[in-house]
Amino acid sequence: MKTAALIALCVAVPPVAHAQSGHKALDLGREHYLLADYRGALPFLSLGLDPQAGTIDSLWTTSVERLTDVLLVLRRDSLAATWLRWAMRVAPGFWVNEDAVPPAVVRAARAAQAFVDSTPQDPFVAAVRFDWPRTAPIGEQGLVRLASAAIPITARIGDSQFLRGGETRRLEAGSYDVVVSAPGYLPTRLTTEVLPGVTTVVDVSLLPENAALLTVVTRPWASLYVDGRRIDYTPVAGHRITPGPHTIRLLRGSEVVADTTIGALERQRLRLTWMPAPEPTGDARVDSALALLDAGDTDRGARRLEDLLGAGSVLPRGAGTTALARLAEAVWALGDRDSARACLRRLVEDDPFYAWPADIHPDLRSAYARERRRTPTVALRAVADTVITPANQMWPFEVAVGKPSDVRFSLRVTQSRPRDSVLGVLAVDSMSRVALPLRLDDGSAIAPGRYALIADIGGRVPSELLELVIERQPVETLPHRLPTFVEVPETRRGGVSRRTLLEAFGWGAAAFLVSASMNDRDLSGRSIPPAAALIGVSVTVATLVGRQDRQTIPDNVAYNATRRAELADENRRIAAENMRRLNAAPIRIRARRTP
Amino acid sequence: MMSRALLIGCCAVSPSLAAQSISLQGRVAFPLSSSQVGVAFDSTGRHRLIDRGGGVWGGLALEARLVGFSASVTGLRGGLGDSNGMFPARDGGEVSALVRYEVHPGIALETRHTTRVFVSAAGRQQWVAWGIGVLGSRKLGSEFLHASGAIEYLPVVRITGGVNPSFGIAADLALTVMPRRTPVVLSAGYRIEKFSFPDITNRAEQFEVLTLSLGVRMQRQDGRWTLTNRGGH
Repeated sequence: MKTAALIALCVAVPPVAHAQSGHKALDLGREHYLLADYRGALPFLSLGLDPQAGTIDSLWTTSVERLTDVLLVLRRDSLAATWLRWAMRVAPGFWVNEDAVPPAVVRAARAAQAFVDSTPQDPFVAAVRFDWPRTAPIGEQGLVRLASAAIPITARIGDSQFLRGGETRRLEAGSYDVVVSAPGYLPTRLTTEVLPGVTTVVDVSLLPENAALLTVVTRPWASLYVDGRRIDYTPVAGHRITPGPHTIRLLRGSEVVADTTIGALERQRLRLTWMPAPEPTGDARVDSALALLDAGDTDRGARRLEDLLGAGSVLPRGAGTTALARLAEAVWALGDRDSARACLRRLVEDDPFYAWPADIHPDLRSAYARERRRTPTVALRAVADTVITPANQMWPFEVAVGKPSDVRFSLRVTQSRPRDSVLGVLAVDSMSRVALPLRLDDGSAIAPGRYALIADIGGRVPSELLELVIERQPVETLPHRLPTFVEVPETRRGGVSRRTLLEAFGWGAAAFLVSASMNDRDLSGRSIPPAAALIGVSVTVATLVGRQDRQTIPDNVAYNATRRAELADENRRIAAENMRRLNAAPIRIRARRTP
Repeated sequence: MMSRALLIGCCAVSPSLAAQSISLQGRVAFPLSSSQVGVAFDSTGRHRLIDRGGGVWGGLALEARLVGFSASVTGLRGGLGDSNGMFPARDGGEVSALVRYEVHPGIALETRHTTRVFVSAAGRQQWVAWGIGVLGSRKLGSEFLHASGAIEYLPVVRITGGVNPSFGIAADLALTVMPRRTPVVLSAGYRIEKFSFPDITNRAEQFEVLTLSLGVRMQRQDGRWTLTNRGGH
């Protein structure tokens, strides 16, 4: 019966020898994976990921992604999460290629990252190694062994499992909290993963209860070695060391930055700093908090910065970004990676143009780069006051994004009737310098006025807006010519025409007769009313004076017309030249960022 | 009631009613009143008894124009002497109101109400006349030189202490000058009124007046009132 079962097992699972581990197993796993033979790929990928069988390279990283994808396809989400957590602990810089892997893998990776960040471990007290089986792991269980120690140590695994030094226990694959303790020593807590068929060996070296705390702060960063053992990049905060003499060495690459010996007393807090003189940020409260960090008081400095950056606080732009970066560095050194990443995300949102200083922690720099590529945000930046000649120059500005995005630019006229004009779409990876031609199709400058340059990356990310005030610079224009010739008279008096004569006397007579005809000569004593005669004569004279005909002088008219046309042509040429000069005139652009 | 009428009257000439122009003129008038007061018989036959009186009157005229309408009020007062020494000298005066509507460029309909009073040692006589007429006007070669003539029929004439006329007619001539680039208005006018009475009364009346006016004109342009003649008559 046992033989039959063994034969059946050999048929069901191809025998994968340990000799095939490493790259060869991963290559085989890749072939099965590309053929969508997920069940066939699983054992090869599981076997080939043994860190001790090969280097952690791009093939290893890709294989973790494939193994995760295989497990998700096979609906073994929990096991996929366990493998991802394990990979992130084994290779702290590990991250999936978000552009290549399926979205489900990205989501699982993010969840695993959050889990690992929230369950850090002290690598100087506890070391975890994984012993791979010689053949492909089978089943859903793995082994946990607590390495033997010179002192009587015990470990509690999960809620109910207890191990003594040297004991081994079989557990379901997954993540487990492990607390190792011994009388007279500081207990240590760690979280580790149990992989199917793999033996997880927990090796601890507990520190005595009277251990001292070492904090080392340097700028630029350096690798800290204590008694020849590499600890981490500086800053290192709250590292426990046994009382007594220790050698401290700081290395940057192969260069020894510092090499000294210290004597640690029981429970002593030792702070070693190699910091340059601080540069003021413009906010005294931030400067005070940064001084605490520079002095090695990481806890207090971080708390002070958290208070300053809390909800409702307003800090100057430069001070705010510096405070966020230093807070991220401090909480990273304290081991709170999750909070550090949150600070980095906020830093990206607040100022996508922020350039991470080269002299700060390389791991944190990598984390910043990763968070930046995950955080959707956009910002614009331009010189506050620029003068350009639109005909042959373009107005430069900069755009920065967090997550690589297609940025849609539009220019809005904000005066009179607001209207948008889409300028274009630009794919921006992180930062880009853009040149905007502020001219129309005919080459003339755009009209002076108030504009808004808007950058939008879609989604729920608010648009970024630069308010532009465009003014045309003074330009020397030509004055219009005034008439320099004297116009000759175009008409002359032509005397009184017969018609005018008839009209004048006719109206005068009518005016007189209307009233004279009503006069009663006997009654008034006058045959002709003198007033009526006066009005009649006045009408006649006025008509004659007002209606004097004038004769046109053709030669004079032609002369005046020619002179006027010449003047009009000259003024048209001057107007065209003035328009050309105005279009070629420099314009001044004042840019202001609008929140 | 009177205050309401006064208010309406004020509004009628108020600049706030957007009258296009308002002119105020000082006026000197030379009236000549000729009346046949009866007949006398002598050896040479039948003679008409004529009372003629002339004088100088002074007063003011206010005129407002609104689109095609114009309205004016005139007040004159002065003495009226006796040319033949048969009758006592008199004081006289008149107040007239005129409303005119231009039905066509150069042609207008008008109505006028006149109250004229003569006072002498013999007593007081008041004439109240209302007439309607037609006015023709034209420019005389220039926008600023203007002549007009009107014929009025006076259907209602009331005289205190006497017989009312059976027929009344009037003619009006005027010449107006508005010099360029000044708000000044100069005008000369001649009006003659003739009244017929029933034959039994042996009475006839003729009233003439030559008027010379000098005034200023204010026009509303772009919502503002300015002293100007721009825009002509």
